[in-house]
Amino acid sequence: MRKFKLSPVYISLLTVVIFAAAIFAGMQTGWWITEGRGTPLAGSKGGGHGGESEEVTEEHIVNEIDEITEEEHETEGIAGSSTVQNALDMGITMEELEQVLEGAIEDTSVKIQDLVSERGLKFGVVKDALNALIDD
Amino acid sequence: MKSKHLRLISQIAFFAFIAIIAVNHSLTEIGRGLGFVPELSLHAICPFGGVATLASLIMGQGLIRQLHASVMVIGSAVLLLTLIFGPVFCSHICPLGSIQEWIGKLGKKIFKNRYNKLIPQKLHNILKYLRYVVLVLVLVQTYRTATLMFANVDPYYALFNFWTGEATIAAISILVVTLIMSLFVERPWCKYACPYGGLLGLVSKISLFKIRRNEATCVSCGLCDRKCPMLIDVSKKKKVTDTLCNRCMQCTYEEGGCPVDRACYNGILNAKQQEEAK
Ligand code: SF4
Ligand code: SF4
Ligand code: SF4
Repeated sequence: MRKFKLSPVYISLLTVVIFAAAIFAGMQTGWWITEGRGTPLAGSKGGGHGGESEEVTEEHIVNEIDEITEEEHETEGIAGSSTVQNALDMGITMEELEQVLEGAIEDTSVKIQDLVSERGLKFGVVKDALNALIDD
Repeated sequence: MKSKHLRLISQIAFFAFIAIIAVNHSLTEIGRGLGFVPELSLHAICPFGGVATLASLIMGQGLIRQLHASVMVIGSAVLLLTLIFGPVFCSHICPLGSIQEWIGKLGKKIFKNRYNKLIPQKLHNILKYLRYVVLVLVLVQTYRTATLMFANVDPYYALFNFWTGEATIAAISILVVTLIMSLFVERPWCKYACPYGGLLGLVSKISLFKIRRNEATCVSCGLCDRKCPMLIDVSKKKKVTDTLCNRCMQCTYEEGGCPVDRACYNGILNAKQQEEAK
């Protein structure tokens, strides 16, 4: 009979192990994307009923997720992980960036958040100012 | 080590992890993020977001605007666990379930035998279906708007965002009411309102492992019924298929719920099938 019964101890251990393993598998297969908002799929109307939407295939979803990864900084605006280069790609000029960040910028690969910390600024204020420039 | 200790460790670890992620997210916003903690938004690790996203994708509405692709991974992990063991996410991982349970321990000390008996069984049997009304409303709203409207009333979101200004007054109020009610009723949100718990409960109907009772060895003492925080009559069933069962194991012999070894257990086959399989 024992072999058909599972001790609660094993259930607790297996719960944590399987949960962690599934997340690890997600990371290995590229599905673990924790940045960038989801954007409506092509063909979806994102705000109304979906009666006329395109058929969504698995390939479609994977392609969309790849696009989101590539375009996340373009679609989302400035986030905690955005670099100076991301901001330039979003259409903000170097002069504007240097003005908001109160000083010269030598390296475009540096994170905006790191510059903010170095210069004693408030990230929330800088983020809002840069996002306003993107919107303009 | 007893599994209830392991379960508690798991609950504390996940609660602390989510709390640290939420605090770090706020600190990052003001440029003071903790370098050693990954910078994640709660929207990136919400398992219910995985369900809403999947539903939205199936219905051709695309990814939900606030959410991230990682929710599909978490949602799938929870689904896999539920298919094997039942809703162990609720008993081992979910921080909102954990905090209700911990407050309930205080309530048990204060109200002793009256704890968890506030709502009459007949009313409870009706109210427990409210979760499915909420689930349908959430899915319909998500479909109509392609945004996670549920976050506006979600006490889980409020629990880890009440200091940020992002949580709505409605969500914070629901959280406060839930936490106060937890003093009298075990896991009130889980029992009567949580759409995700309701969904996991439905999936658990086909889970591999279930709580089972061996009629041949059961002495009908009813202890399993009294131990069950979700008010399930375990002693009247051969196997527990109630969608409220979250596999907390408190009714089993190993956890001190049943006085007879192998009368109330968590297994794949029932006692008769096991005899035949020998
Ligand atoms: S029922 Fe909902 S709130 Fe309760 S533990 Fe499960 S997921 Fe969490
Ligand atoms: S006590 Fe038993 S029947 Fe009740 S919720 Fe926990 S595992 Fe399920
Ligand atoms: S606690 Fe065990 S022996 Fe008592 S009624 Fe429940 S299953 Fe039967």
